[in-house]
Amino acid sequence: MKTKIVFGLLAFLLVVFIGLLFIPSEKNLKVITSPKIFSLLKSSNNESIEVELLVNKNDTYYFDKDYIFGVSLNSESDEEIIPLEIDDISYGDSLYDFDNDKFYLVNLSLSVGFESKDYLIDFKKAYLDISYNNEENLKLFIGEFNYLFNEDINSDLGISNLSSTVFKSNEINTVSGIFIELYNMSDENLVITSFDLGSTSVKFNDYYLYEIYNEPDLFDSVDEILLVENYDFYIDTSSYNKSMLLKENQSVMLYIPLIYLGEIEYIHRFFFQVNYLSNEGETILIIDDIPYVSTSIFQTSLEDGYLVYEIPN
Amino acid sequence: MRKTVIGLMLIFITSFLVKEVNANEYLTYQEIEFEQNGAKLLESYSNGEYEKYYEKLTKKKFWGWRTYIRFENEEVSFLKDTLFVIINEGETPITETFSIKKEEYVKKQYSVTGTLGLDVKASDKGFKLGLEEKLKFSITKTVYTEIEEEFEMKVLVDSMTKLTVEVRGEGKVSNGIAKYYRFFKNVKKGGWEIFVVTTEYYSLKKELINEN
Repeated sequence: MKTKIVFGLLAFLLVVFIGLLFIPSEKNLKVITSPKIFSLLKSSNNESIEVELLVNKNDTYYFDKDYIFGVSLNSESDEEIIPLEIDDISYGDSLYDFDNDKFYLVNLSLSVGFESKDYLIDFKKAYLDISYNNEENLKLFIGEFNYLFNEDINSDLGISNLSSTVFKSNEINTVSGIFIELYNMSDENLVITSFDLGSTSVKFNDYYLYEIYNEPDLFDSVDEILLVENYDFYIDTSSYNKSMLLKENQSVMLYIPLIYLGEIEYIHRFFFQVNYLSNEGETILIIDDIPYVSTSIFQTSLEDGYLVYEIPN
Repeated sequence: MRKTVIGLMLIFITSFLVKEVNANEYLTYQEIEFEQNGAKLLESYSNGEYEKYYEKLTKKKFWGWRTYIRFENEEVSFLKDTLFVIINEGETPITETFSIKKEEYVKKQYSVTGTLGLDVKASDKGFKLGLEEKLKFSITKTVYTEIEEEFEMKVLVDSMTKLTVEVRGEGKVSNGIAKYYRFFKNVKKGGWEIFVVTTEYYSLKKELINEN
């Protein structure tokens, strides 16, 4: 009788053991960022900063607002910290296959935790720092971050055409140049001197700021538009200011190509400023950020740049 | 004679039912152009093409789908309806601050014809009865999301011109036909199409007003 009980118990334990072997252990949390250049102008209070991540779990407290204690944007060595507020965290419906795992798209809508009338946040390397109620911390590299507070109202210049041309940089679709038509609304002559793009690693090439007479097509090359040979997007020849006279009540169509000097070789949306001289001296016109190229930062052509963070259970 | 007339009417009505596309937004785009000659949208399939492709799926099945892929991830470019228009029919230029709301970003859209259905309950609308999972090809690898955002700009609109925000884009199209069987009986059949918007381009354009 005793033997039967012992064998029964052993058989039961064996079944439990085998069962345990087949229970899948909970996988580690993986978070993926695809570093990009943020270049945003705060032009209204409804705007938020959208940070997208891929996460291999859709039920983790790491992206549950109730468990998050605080969020900030930190520069590379934490010498500058910008407080952020979470407006919303949402999960996308579709799944993304990467590295033998399935990932959900998580969108964090954030806003800067203070107001200003004239202030520029420019982090060459920006980290999203999320701290939790249980004192854990997640620090994710999200790319270059430029955010401008500016409330200046310019009444000298108006815009009546604004578009980009695009090209593929290492298979990644990006802006090659900007076409803009400016109109002098003031009662004086203005002199346009240069353009500044809201980024530290992507610039306008002022040397190639040209007046053009036909609107370029989206896919026209810089060579075709400016009638130059082998325009190089990766050599800095921009330290050159031009002087373009824009008489009162006149308009001018301009084209200016970009140069890429950093590790992130694409930019899809950015603000920029037109520098010009008026009777009051040096003045600027700031152009709001427009999504010249609107596409996902999670796609095959960008996978080489993904950063994968693995958080053990 | 009456029977013949009714029969002809039924065939006439059925031909419309077969070609009627239960579709998504992309069919309202102003222009859709395929990169490769010969590729076409589901709405351009003729009745003869449907019959030809149905013949490729003659083998019956106890339960489930039989599918035929005619075009797979064909590259297209498109021009959407303009998002915003300011018209100045006056004699002097006007300046205005415009603000537009950009709603969706890259996304996947579906269309069906015949008796195939779309699952309208799902937030990411797809085919009914798990048709997409049966289509054994890799749909462009990306993720889709919806973002609502506004951008603002002070613009100048010359006399007798209009200013528009134009949206152009690129995508990939796959389409074909499918039959669904239950107990070896073909209970549903029709065309299917998946249109993936991969990139959109925004620009501000000035155009002369056509005085006609």
